[in-house]
Amino acid sequence: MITELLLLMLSAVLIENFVLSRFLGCCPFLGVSEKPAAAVGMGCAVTFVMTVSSAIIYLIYTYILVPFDLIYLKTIAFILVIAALVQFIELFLKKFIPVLYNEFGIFLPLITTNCAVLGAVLLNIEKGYDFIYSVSFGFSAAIGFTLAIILFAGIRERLEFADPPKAFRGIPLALVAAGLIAMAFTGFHGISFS
Amino acid sequence: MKYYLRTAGTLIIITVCVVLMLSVINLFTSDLIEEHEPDSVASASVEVTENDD
Amino acid sequence: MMIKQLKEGVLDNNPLLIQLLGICPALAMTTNVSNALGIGIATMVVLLLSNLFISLLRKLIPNEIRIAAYIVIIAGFVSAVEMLIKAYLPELGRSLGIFLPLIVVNCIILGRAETFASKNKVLPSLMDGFAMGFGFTFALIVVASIREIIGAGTWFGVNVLGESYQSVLFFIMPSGAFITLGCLVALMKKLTSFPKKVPKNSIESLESESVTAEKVEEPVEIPAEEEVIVEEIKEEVEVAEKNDN
Repeated sequence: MITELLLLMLSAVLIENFVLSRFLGCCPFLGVSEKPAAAVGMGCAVTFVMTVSSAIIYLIYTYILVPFDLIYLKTIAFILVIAALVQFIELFLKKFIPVLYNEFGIFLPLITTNCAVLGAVLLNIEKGYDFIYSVSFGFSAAIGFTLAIILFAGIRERLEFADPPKAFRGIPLALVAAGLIAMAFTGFHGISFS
Repeated sequence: MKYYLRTAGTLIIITVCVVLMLSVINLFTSDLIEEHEPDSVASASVEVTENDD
Repeated sequence: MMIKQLKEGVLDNNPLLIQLLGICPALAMTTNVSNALGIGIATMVVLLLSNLFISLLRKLIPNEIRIAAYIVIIAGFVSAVEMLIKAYLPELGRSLGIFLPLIVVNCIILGRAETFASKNKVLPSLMDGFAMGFGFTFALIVVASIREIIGAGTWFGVNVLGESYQSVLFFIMPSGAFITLGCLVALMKKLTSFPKKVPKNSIESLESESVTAEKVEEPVEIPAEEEVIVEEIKEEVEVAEKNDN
């Protein structure tokens, strides 16, 4: 079982990277990745939210939604849990690590609308993972996201000194760069674990 | 006090209305959805009985 | 007013190509045109419904909980649309996969609710929902058309480039998605920003070239769009203006 778990985590990080293969988590990926330091911070926050929400949401789904035949309420329930978690983190940071809070600015509440977080928990349900698998998947998906965002921040720092055509400056160039990284990660696709 | 009542109350009312709307839609659509996509968790037992034909 | 809103939604302020919102579905669901159409229309329906109700209730929702309230309302409509599609169009539901419930975190919907529907009457809000939804769907279809035609030789499932066409698989893959979208956004920027008269102030014209999403337009305009960053940039420009005058 440990092997299976490790394979699952590895594939979430590299083979089916959340940002570069599944396209989940693109908005902050393109928005926050300008400075590596901010990227690391964002990555940590997202990892925390994704891991904890995977746990909580698994419990809510298995012990409340399914037994009471309320599966159709999953979208609402999940997004509310995520929103509450993010709110909690915001208050926590504001009180204990205000520097980080200011650094994040608007991106912290934006984790609520991060496709990666909701996407991860929805995938957990879809694949029918149990508790340990759900939490591991959420955690590794977040690690994959963090990896992508840090890599990207490094690249964007260099891109600042490039001289692209006017129309390409900023996001369009970032998208093309992301495409090239995605190509690199495609190299991992050949590895498959059944 | 009245303020908290108003804010929490409005949110609860909105949530209740939304849940009601979804329950109504669920009544109409749940059978059709079951047909197309049997829920892996809920219908594990159903699959067994179906095979007992 | 309505025609203007429509033009804005499709061209000047296209939610995907100018505002750069809703990128996740734009990358994932544009491998073929039918998916793009599906997710675009689903998003537009949710946008219409949520704009309608949020505009109707705008005076009743207390300010502090407005985001939470919007999320509940939007999530409700997304769930409704998801259930209806899964029941009556199951094939589409299967292709769209998790991106159907993920409409709830599509920044366009929350963004329009916050910037427009909460401050305007019902009819303009409905029109805004339609314009933005239509613009989004249109942009999705353009991206999907490029990716499907070059990447698979088909359009909407119909073979258009002949039997012997060697599909360029690259366009169907994730990397192709990023690059296609990047080029399209650049093209859109070029088409909509540069022909416009750039303000005389030279610093402003330099600033406007480095602003990624929004153009610096005439000061008298509808309130600035969602991103706080844009607000900050506008402030910077104003400060630069003041310093120069």
